[in-house]
Amino acid sequence: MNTKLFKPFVVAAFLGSLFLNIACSDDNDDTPSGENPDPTKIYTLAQEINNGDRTATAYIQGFTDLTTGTDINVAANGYEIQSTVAARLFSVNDGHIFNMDYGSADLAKFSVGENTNFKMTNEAAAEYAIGTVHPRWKPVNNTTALLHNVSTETITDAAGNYVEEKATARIMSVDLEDLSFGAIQEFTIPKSQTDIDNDFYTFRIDAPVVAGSKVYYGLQKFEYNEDGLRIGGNHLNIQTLVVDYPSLENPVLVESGVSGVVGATNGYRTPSMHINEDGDVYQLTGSGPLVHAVQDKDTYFLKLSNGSYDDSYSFNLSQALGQNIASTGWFYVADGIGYVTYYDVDEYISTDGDYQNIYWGVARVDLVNKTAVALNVPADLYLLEYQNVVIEDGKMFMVLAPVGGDGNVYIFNSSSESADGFEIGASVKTGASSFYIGVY
Amino acid sequence: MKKLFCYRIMLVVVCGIVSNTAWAQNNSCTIRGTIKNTKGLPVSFATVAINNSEDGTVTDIDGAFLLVTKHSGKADLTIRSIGYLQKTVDINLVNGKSLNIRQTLEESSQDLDEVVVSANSKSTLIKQKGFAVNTVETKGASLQNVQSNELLDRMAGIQVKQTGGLGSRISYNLNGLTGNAIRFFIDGIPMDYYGASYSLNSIPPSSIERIEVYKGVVPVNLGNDALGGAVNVVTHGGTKNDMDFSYSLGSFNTHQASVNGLWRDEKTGFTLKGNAFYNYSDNNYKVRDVGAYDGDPALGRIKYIDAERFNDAYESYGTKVDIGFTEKSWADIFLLSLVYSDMDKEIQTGSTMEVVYGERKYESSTLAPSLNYIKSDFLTEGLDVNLFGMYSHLNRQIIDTTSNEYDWTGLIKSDIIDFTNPGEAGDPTLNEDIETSLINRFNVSYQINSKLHVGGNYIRTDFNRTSDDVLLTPKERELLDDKGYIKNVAGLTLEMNELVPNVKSSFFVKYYAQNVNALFRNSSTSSIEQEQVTNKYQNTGFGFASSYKFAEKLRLQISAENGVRLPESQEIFGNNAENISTNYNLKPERSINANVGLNYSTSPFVKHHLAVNTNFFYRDTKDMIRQANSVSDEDYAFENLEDVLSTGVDVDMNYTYDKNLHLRMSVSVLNARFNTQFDENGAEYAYYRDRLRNEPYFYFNYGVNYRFNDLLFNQSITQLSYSAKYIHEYYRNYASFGSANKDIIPTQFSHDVGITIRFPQNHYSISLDAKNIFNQTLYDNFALQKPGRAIYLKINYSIH
Repeated sequence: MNTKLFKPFVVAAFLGSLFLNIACSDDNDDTPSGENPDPTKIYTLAQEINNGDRTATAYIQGFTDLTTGTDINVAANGYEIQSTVAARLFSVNDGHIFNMDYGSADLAKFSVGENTNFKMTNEAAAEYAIGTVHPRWKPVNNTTALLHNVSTETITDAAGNYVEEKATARIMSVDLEDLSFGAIQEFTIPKSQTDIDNDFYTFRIDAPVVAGSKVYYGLQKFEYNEDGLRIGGNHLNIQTLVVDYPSLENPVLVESGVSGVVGATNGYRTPSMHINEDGDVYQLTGSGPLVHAVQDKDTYFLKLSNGSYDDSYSFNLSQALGQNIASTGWFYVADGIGYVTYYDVDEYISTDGDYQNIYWGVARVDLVNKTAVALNVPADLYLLEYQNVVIEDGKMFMVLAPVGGDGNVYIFNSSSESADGFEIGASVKTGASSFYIGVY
Repeated sequence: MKKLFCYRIMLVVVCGIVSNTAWAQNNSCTIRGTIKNTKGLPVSFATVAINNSEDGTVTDIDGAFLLVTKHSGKADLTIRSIGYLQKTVDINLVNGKSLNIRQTLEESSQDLDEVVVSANSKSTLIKQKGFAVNTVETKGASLQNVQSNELLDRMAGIQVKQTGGLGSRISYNLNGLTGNAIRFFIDGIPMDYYGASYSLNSIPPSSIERIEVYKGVVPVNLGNDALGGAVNVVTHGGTKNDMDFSYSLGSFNTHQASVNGLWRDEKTGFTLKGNAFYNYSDNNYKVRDVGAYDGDPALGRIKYIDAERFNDAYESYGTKVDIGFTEKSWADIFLLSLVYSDMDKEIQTGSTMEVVYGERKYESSTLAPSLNYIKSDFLTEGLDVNLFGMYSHLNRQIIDTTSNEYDWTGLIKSDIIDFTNPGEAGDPTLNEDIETSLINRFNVSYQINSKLHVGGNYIRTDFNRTSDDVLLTPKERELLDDKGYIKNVAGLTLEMNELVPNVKSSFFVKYYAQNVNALFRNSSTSSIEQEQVTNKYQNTGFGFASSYKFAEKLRLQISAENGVRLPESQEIFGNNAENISTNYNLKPERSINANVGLNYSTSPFVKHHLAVNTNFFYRDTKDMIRQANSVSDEDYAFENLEDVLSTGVDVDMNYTYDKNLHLRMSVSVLNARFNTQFDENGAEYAYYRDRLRNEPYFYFNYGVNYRFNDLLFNQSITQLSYSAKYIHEYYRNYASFGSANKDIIPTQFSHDVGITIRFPQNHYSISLDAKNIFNQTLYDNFALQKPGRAIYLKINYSIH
């Protein structure tokens, strides 16, 4: 048999495959480095794509000027951010952007550059410290962020009968300079008498704000029945969790004494509370059916100071706007002026998917004079997941685009009381499964 | 133009035989005859060929053949078959006259030589019906250290993805369709009912005769709702007494053993068959560049290391025993069978390499008795029946209770904090599913005449699943879901064999009916109730497969079917434990599948044999069922969300030279696109028409086998083999998004080599195989890493 054919063929095959191996070496995916970061402010836009399998990917892109420009499409042109289920981004206006990968609890810090010139400068893995791969986080000042999670446990007695649901919170601080971890604390979330009487437990804490030596955490409650099974959300009052800062010890529940206020206080993706120039914290109640499952209640601004509610202040936003609305959060500019993302409760249909409930708007609020103006922003907005704005010289930068359509960067002028008190900036493109989550 | 091949008609029976059109002309000679063995039994699939010509044919199940040739004068007629010594007969051909040959073949154990030739026979026969089907014969590979799934992966158009090493969860992609769009069968019975412990992961190649992959158009004999295609594992038939045993030892503490045996009493026809397997592996291969805690885990510092997997062990064992009678006047096969199998698998990671488990594991076991009755010419000639009944009992359990935590360095503990939560992948669980199924299958086929054949298949399944988790509260356990369905699939097919010259076609209709029921709790009201609900589905489907031999070596095949997949219990009713809500409006998934293929094949009776199969495919799939993407609701329902349009081409090539050199190559190009343009609000999807994410779209593999006689030892056959697989890089996310820092699964090119030495007289063979010899990093979904370089040694012993 002819063996002469065989050997050269084998050698050729081996050489051929070796060659292909070398030719197809892995890409080196370091982003270009070496240049000094541009001294002018770079605005980062972030867009999230829902992949259709219960995961989402985020893309970011840096721009020096958001007042002009056409057809910004961050998802098509941006820098991909690690996202197992979703990416939780924020910035503290110091030329960096931070990400927590929801689904692995990996933290990353990037220096911001124009276009896709982002470079990872620090990373950390928070899964062990926070005890979950699905924590939540928020910066409380320019140097610190808080990471938090609530886990629940069913308590039964010796005979196996159901007793109660116990909620345990774990909180830790993260130094934004190098993503090093500070104090890590775990405690049982206290129950008020209302909670005990009605079988409520705290299911989530979020939106922390630090004021002086205290940190205020918004919370959301669920009701459980005697079989230990969760029944939707339920609230009969307004409560906030107060913890000493920076030790993160000594949890205390405080309750608002203002009559008629009911709801959750943790917001959703949008912050629910902000601190003002006097060190007081203003909180927007989550009193609507979406997410918080509250029916037929007005939405209020309340005030917290010195570790408890200041019941002398209350501002009924629903009444001020003259509409049946509710909200999951707001943004504060200065001097008592802020902007609220709200939705129309009358239009809300609970059986529709989120992306069909697009009755969102933006209102400018004056906390001092207790007035509110609904702004003439486009219709068909979806703002449930809107996370971040940039505040600069009394102006607020925000991206507003109808779901699946084209939109713009809006630059709100906080000193104007008009319903058109904003400028329209660069245009942006979205798609059915993608939407902007913030300007950073 | 002078045709080189002669054609004739032969009977088409259950096994399927080559058919040719009649070509009776006066300048030809007809040779007919019967080939038997020394025991007087017919030798089927023996090749009968005229030396130094391309005239040849294959005997049918009765050992009969008919060969028409234009040669005249003296010639040599060679008869070859597996397990027999080759025989050559002197004949004298006279034009216009016919010859009658009766020959007896003597048994031989030197059967490997013939594997290539008769392998082509069976695959060719099925292909000639017009279906886009590929088959892989496992006999040749069963001597080597090759897994059944690796053999499947070598075919064009199918991509086998594993989440890790031996025994890990597998997903298959066939022409762009994945998951339960592809149905698996063992001898025509849906493989799901046998469970994970008795599957392609555990059944050794030595127990399998061949694996058939039907792409997009599925014959009625495989009775299940197969949206994208079907894989049918055909286990060993045969009536000859034999036994073989193999043991393999390899890297990562891998041990695999298998035994196959058959004993049949000539006089009574009493038959005893058994096969048993054992698989074990630690799967402790190295993974590269994975994140682990640097210092105290509570400080969250990361370092990147190479680590060894430590919670990925796999053990499975099982047996199938058949007892009964074969080749009697009242039954071809009457066998009572029992399958028992068991598996344990540790689970090392979540869906990405970042999430590491140290103690989570999964167990499953199956017990399935069955009865099979096959009779050809039942009551009347040409009527064949196949009756099958099986009861299967399946157990499945997830075990995840530890409070320990792990990263890639192993168990981690902190000196700074001391908080622990039980359960590595969420809440602690000991969830156990028990599934029982009763399956009945009735298959009948009738040969009306030499050109027409009808067949019918009916399969009915009664399925039930109950779940329990001792870690839940008593009340929660009481209210756990109980799910079931009754599924009826029926099909009717009409086959036409050269009604039109050179054309074989089959037309078929199918009927699917499913009655799904569940006993579950409704948690949205303030009081919890148990509710019994049912939901019915009925669908019909139809299709055809046709082949046209338009030139002597060329065959065109076309097939099409409108496939369907009925929604499953969990998709309709949800699952409260996993926060999935109900959707009674769920429609079945549908797909229009079409294939156009060209097959080129030279005669298998000459020194050079080349076979090339190409298949162009089109899959227009609608209403794929996906979980809805609600963000604020904690409960997600399944919905008909996705359309996919998939096109592409598969090429398979096989070349043999004089039975000593064998080359094979397969190339797959896949263009699977997300095809839903607008969502329910009328907004256009940003990834409309984008390539489906996280799926390879261009890959090929090739292999070379070369055989030497008496190379190192006298009376031995030595085979050297080399095979390689190439997968082109692809993105984890939608390709059109992002322009920087994109997650990419890099190009992979891996190579395996092996040497097998057979000592036929001593019935031994020994095989040494090295896989991934260049120690490449190989990946599957979400960049989960697969084993690096590995070496295996296998010995085989067989008695005939």
